[in-house]
Amino acid sequence: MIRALKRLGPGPTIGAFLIVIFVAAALFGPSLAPYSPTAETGPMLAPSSRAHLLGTDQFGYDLLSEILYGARVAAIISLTVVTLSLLIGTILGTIAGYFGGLIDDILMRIVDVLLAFPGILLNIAIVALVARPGLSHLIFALTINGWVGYARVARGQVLQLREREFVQAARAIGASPWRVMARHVAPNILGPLIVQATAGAAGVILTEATLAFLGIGHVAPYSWGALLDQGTSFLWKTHHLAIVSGSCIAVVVLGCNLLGDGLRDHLDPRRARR
Amino acid sequence: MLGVLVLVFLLVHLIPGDPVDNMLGEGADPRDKLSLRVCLDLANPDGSAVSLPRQFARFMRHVGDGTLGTTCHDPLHPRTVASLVAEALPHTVALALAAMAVALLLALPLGVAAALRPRSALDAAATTVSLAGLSIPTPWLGPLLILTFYIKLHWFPGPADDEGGLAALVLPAIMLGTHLMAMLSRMTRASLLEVIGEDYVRTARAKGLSPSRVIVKHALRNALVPVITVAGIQFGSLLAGAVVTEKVFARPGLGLLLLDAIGQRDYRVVQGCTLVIAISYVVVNLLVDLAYGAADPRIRLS
Repeated sequence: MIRALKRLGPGPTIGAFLIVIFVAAALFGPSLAPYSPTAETGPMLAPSSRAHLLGTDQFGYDLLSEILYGARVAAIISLTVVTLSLLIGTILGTIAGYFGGLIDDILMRIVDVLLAFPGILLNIAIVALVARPGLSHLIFALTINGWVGYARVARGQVLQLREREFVQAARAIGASPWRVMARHVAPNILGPLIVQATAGAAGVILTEATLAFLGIGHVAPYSWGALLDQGTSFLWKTHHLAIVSGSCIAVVVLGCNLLGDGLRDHLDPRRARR
Repeated sequence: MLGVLVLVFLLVHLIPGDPVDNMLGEGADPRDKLSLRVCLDLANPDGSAVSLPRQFARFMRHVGDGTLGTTCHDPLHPRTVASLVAEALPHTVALALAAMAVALLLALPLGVAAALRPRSALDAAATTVSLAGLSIPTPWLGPLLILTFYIKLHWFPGPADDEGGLAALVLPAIMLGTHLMAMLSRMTRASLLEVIGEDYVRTARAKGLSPSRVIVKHALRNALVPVITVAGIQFGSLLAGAVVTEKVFARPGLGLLLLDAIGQRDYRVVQGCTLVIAISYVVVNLLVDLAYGAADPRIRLS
């Protein structure tokens, strides 16, 4: 593990470190949090103090506790959306690339339409359809165009692999198309897809924060985007709310970007030399 | 284009369950539900449902006659969605153009400087700036800009300033343009580095041209083609991204119109805004493709 990080260089190592902290906060945060994230435990909008390390928000809730619970919200959403998108995208992209023909045409037209649509706008329009959107609505809205990128990458990879000897050999000995795809093609296209997923996680966290910030797709009052929205409204009175919540989002996104860049350079040494 | 129209039309039906129940909540007044159903062309005034193909025909008629339908939230003073959009659109386009200008003006010098001295301190600084630009959440950048340049330094007008003129556009443009700036400066660097290694650049050098002439006339001209393409394609995302900027700076534009409509549960307006932004996105992409083909004869549209 340490040797692998050493090979990747300092940037990706920092990225991996930031992500580990984020995941730890999501896993253990709620048990470490000093207070409940929805209980009035101090004065409103108080700055940092011994009792409230990061201060309090407009309702007198402890900001540190909210941030820790918010990390879990962000982690659940990004993990679910990225996993679902990766699965759907890989399966559809592999099928399109492997079979070609009509299936490929239809799937790629759907991909084109979804790509022709500004992503965040589609997310907004879908979440806006529900009076009180829950976690599942948000995940649905983010996955509906999330899979497209993975499908394109998977299809491109499969098109290259399809004519390689080991795939043809598997076909020649009579393996069914599904077996060839699952056993021989899919494992060989995972590298670029995982790189894409690392960057994708950053995108999901950013979009979730943006939607919560816009006041639509509010899944929890302590989601980081909602806290940032609150902080922006009270910018005149105090800065700590906006600065703390915004920097949490920024740090996690930076971590994903650093790690994603490093992994991509690692997989494609041609890029790294530039 | 047709695909985008169909997608915008189908949006209402994408979420499982009855669209009006979802929008108003289960316990809403049946009369409110019916009037919203009628307004959205989901039902006839007598309560009977409208079939999907007929809904699509009505939707296309609203698009075709240029009204995009009428607003739902205020039945006494209905307005066409198109008139609302026409009021808001110029503000959003101005903001997107300003953001594009900010992005290009910063990204090109940054990218070129980094590519000319790869692995130098300057390159490291440019790479750091672009990484920061890519990672900083746009909803966070706005408040930070307001805090620094308005509340603390008083350099630029703040949110909801109608008399600020061009100066009032500066902070929103930086907020909206930063992400694109980061993307373009990375691309400029990578693309210029690639071109500098090409044979024709070596030939130009070997002819004895001055280094600056080689870079400007031979390398940059070719290196910028992909950069400009991406900039063009991203113009549509700027229109969509303006939603956040317009909220932070309380600027009257398509984004604010969209958010207000969501607050009023007026899905007709949401649909109209979405459609206008999506269509401009597609049209800009098409124009960029055509311009790209004209600029670079190696690309032939097949």
